[in-house]
Amino acid sequence: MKRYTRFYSSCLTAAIACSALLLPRAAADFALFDDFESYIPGDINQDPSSPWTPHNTGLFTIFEGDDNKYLGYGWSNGSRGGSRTLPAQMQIAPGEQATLFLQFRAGSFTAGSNESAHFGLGHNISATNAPSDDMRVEVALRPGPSGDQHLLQVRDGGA
Amino acid sequence: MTRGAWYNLWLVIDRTNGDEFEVYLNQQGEATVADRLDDTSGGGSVSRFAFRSGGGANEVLNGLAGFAHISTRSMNLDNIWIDNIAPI
Repeated sequence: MKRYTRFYSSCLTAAIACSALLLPRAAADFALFDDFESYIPGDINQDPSSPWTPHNTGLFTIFEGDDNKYLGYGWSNGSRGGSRTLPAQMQIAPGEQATLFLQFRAGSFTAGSNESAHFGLGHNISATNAPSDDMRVEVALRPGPSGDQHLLQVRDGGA
Repeated sequence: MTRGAWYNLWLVIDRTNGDEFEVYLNQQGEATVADRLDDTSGGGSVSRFAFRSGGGANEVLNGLAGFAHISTRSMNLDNIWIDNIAPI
């Protein structure tokens, strides 16, 4: 079973769990942005069908396992990543409300280090080493007190 | 967050009165509220965040990006869905 089939049950569970938190919409209005199932496993640079843009040849890779494909990224020296433009109907303009759903998994961090891994939404994301400057909505994982426990953090404003 | 575990995450974006968003996540059906970045103002256990500055109020969010800092293959993403509501 592809993992995305679990998305609906997850949304239903969360909609129930989050009803007191005022999630604005039902799961039925979501449209798939990407589940990575159509890509060739390996460096995303090597798949001409991929709409993702790796930034400065950072490690942006399609992995496959358990009958599922997913995106993995990171770089051992500095900040690197990638991006994909949203289809017009998914772009979020002033005056609109929207919900982005995704599934993430944290790899290894070194406890006490300044390692981090980020994702988010932005405007006209440029293919620089790290697209952070162009992000407007940003979530990050950072090392926690041990190598197996990480912190999920959210940028609140700031430059 | 536990290394190697998959989590569900929702970014609930509200641009009807400024540029703000909320973050929800769960692993086993129980939603919790994320913490703020530690280099920003305010305390923890808040649910509503402001857009990062640098752009004008009329910017359209038109891209999704990811990057990692000094950490090889430290993030996996999958099953990205967007529910966009028409202008109110």
